[in-house]
Amino acid sequence: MLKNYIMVALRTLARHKMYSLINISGLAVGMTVFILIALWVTDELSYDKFHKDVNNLYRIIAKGAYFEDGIDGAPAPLANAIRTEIPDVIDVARVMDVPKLVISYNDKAFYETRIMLTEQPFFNIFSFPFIYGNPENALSNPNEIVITEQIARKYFGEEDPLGKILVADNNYQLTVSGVMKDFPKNSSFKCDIIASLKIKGEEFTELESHWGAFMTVTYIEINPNADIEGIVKKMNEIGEKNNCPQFKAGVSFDLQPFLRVHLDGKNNYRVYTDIGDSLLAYSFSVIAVFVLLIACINFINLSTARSLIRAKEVGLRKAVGARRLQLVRQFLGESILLSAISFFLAVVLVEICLPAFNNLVGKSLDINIFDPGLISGAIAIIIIVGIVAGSYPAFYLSSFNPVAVLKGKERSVSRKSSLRRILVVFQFSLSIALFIGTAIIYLQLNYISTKDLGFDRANIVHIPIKENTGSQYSTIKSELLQSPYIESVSSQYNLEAYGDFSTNGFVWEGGVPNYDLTFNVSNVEPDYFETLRFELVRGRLFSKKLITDTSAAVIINEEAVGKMGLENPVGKRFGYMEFDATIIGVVKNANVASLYKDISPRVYRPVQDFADASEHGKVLIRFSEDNFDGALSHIRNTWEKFNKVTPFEFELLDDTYKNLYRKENKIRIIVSIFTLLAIFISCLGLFGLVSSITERRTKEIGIRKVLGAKVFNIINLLAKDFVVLVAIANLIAWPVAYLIMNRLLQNYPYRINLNLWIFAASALAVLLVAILTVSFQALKAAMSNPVDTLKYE
Amino acid sequence: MIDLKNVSKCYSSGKVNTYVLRKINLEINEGEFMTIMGPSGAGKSTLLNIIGMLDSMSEGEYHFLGESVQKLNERKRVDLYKQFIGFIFQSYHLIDELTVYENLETPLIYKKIKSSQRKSMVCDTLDRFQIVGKKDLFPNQLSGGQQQLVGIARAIIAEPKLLLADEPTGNLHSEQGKEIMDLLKKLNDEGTTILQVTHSEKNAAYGSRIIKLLDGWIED
Repeated sequence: MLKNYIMVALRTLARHKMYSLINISGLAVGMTVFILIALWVTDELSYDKFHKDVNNLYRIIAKGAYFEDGIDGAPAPLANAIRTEIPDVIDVARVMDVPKLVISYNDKAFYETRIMLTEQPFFNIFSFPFIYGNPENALSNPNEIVITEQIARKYFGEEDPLGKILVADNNYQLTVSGVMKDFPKNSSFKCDIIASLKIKGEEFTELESHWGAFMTVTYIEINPNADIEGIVKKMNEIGEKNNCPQFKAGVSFDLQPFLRVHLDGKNNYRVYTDIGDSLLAYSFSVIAVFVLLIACINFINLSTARSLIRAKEVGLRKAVGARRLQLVRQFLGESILLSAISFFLAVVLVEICLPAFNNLVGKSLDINIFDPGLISGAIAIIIIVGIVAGSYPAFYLSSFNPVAVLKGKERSVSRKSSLRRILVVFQFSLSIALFIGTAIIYLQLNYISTKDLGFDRANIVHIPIKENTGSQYSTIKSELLQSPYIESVSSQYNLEAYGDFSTNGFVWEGGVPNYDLTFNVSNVEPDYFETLRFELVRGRLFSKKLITDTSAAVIINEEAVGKMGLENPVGKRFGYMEFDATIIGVVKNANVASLYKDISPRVYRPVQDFADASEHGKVLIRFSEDNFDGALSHIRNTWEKFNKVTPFEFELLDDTYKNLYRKENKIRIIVSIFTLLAIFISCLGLFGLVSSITERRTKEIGIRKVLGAKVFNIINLLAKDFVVLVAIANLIAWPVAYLIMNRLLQNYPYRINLNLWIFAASALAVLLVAILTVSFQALKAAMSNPVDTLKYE
Repeated sequence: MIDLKNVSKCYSSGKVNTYVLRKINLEINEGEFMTIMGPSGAGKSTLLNIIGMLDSMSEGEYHFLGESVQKLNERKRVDLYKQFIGFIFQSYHLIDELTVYENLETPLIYKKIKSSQRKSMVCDTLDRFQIVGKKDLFPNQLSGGQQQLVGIARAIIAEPKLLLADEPTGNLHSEQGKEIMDLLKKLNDEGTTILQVTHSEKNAAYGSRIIKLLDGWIED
């Protein structure tokens, strides 16, 4: 029986090549999208599961008040208190991140960016196997480090790494006390060098008694049966008891299951973390299912529209004794076979697309065809797609009355097409909605990457303040200014686009008592505003000639003026703890940080000594237009003259801002590809439908032409219905796209308006493609010679 | 074997009921070779289809080998049907995607006959009809007469007690038609009950009894 069915199925496929091609290619493309996304989502969901007892691992987060979405930081002394006061917690480990360092061994020197500081219990909590050394006494001395296999090979080649000394920033001697296996691909921790928290010396000792600095990320392992809420309660009691200052503002501690860190941690990116985005994973999954569904609909529509082809067979099989259920099984088997063929084609396509896809999503996904999970997944996809696509056609086809179809009355059977219409509308609603969504993402990204930020970011290159460049800054600056291509040079402690700094506790003259406003703080060189071309609104900018301007003056932005409740801020006193200054000017609001954040009150403090600049301290150099190369070679020479340790690096300020939206740009590319594929598959189905209808109406077309119908009339006759359906699809697509995109755009304080023309233009584009698809086939029919078609009827 | 009592069939389109068969009373015994004749539209094929259980009746009673057909569900009806009845169509009606061999095999598959037995039954039949050389050809590679031969072979392969033939020679020229009729006669002689519909007096002469239909009524 099976052989008989398969034979019929394959011969039917071979006989109707075009329709088989439409069905198989549509399903294969749909499955390709689905498999790629499935691989990606599966990988995302597999993160961190390899740890032993992973369900007992938690991360401490702080939430409430200004930590709206929760932050991963906690005060350093909390860990010590938990160790002694909460017996249900088995182990506690704190982690801090470090800016990139130059690491050298003999004559080898590299920048290392992925470095983290922690303490021994880290290796008890997490399951990272060692190759050399013992995790139980790793990091026992402040200068001990653990490195990964890869780093060991990079610096020491084949030599035994244990006991070797690496030098960080020419300053710290680090002894290798352990080598661990490289972090698994699906670990949310990813770093190259793990050093001890104690290497910070004084600084860390100080932190350990500071309940107001949420500088460490704390991980705990609890007893399997421990009461989570009880532990959270105790942690908060500890915070309360120790007068954690943030508690007064409404902050409290909470526990986040470690398994959620990868997908729900997008607000807590750190150099040693590999963080995903659950929203993205879910929305991509939904899109993938939709694309596959669109392909299944093609199969449903084409099978029912072309049921004539199989009607006689159905009648005959019934006449020789087939029951309906047997026919249903046969047709379902056929759709599963088709699904299987498409699947294998899809696997080939996936193999071809994977490198590009990996590049896009920043992963190294691959297909291991022997993986049992993958095999059962494949079988599930084949069967589910076969059933979704094949059920309706199977029940429809098997319902034919043998007497009717064998007598040639079958024409009356296949005209009912209301379901087909609904499905076409559904396909195009999805396609159009996706298209509108893509268009909006494009426009939004274009908007934020070209928006006027309130200062001139063009023609500025920035280099880090590294090593001795900070302490020799004034010499370097005058050397840089020697070049005719360099217009001005200025520095700041931290480039806001990389890392902004905010704090509260300011007081000002004329302010409401006890009104605590959080300010962003930028420590800048006095001529910063001239170099970046800020616009002054009131008062004056910093002057190097006035001694007071180097210590006792601040400039604020317009936003601050409004929030501080001052009519005329210039000349008012402004202070923070022992710092006491005068507001000398107000600059226009500028989006120095990313456009994901609204403008907030900002205070600019003048500094001239950059020896203590942060990891994001930058020298900003404005070069004259069109002289980038000349300027850059001078900058490089100057750097190499003053800094022989760290390799030269630079970035254009414009690129820095563009890079803030790099992830979104990748999403944009992926979503556009999905959208194009969805439209492609929908049009493929439309093409098939029109072809089958044209085939059926050949005789009618012939007669109409003999009676004097023009080519246009014929096209109109065949295509009008479908164009109307695509038009109806807009009615569904517009509101859906509007609601979803409007909701998404709310995340962006700077966003485009959802104008009607975006929807109209998207609809027009899809409609145009649909009209072209439909007309091609209709035109062919309309152009045919009626004599040929009528002769054979 | 077959007992029809007051069987009627009508189609309703909108408010108008059109009767194609009216109060048919008919008895057919085992071993008969019976012919139904009548002009186009008299209801010949409909009667054949009802007897063959491919179509349902609107009124009346139908007993087949003592079983009341109108009371059976689909499954039982198909079981009864595939056990005892074979069908031959005017326009051959073979499955285009299957070879001669596979076309012959199909009814046996639905009868759940084992593969080895199927094979020998198909080979016997091919032999008997002298079409062994054509077993791997597809229907469209055969002439009309050859296709009808395969059609008959398929109808009798499962050894039905009743063979229903709807103008079996209608699309054939006279030489081929005669061969087919001779074959039917031979089958009847071997014990198969045959009920044929035909326009041709010559074909009717092969049978043992003739009934005439006009406008749905049996003419006396």
